[in-house]
Amino acid sequence: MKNEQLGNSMKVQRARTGLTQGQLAEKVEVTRKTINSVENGVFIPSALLAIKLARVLGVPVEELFFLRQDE
Amino acid sequence: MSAIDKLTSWRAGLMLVSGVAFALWQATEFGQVRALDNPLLRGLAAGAVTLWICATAALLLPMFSRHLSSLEDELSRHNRLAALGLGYWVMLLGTAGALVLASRTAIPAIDLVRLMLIAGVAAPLIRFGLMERAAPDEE
Repeated sequence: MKNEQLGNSMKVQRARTGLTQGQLAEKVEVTRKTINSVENGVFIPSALLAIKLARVLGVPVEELFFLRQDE
Repeated sequence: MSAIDKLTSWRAGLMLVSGVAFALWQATEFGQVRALDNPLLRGLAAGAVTLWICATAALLLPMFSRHLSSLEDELSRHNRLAALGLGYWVMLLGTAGALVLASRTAIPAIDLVRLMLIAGVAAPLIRFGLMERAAPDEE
């Protein structure tokens, strides 16, 4: 049985752009806790937030968020 | 910690205090507890209701309403929904428990309603406060 989870490369992309969680949070108008929660896979962002994050980090959404399948 | 992080943290703390203080205050109002007529319990009741009023009033301060759009992001809305969902189930269980108690004991109706109120009010407040705690520091 497949167990699908949402993976993300936010930490990597953030490091590439040199943004802190706080700075990224400010740019997409959410709290740092939200960025932290998304990064750690605790919270799945809405499509709107995912697109805003991808836009700020300068990558396509599919590169920022992806499906992780565990069999 | 940014200003918004601090506000989020304070708000979470106030909700926790409000939820616990409400539960404590209401617990001292049960008929059998009041019948004990214990000065310590009366003091606890007075302290708890004062704390509940102060914590609830503090949540209405302008410092929170001014930054509402920043505090109420989608994670916060998700957490509120989850906390209210928990409150629904806890209240449902509380109601079921009250029904069982009512059928087997002579507990006054007001105490049974109080039990449901504690469950329905305190549980989501405490849950929301716990969920809204500040994020760990960046690595």
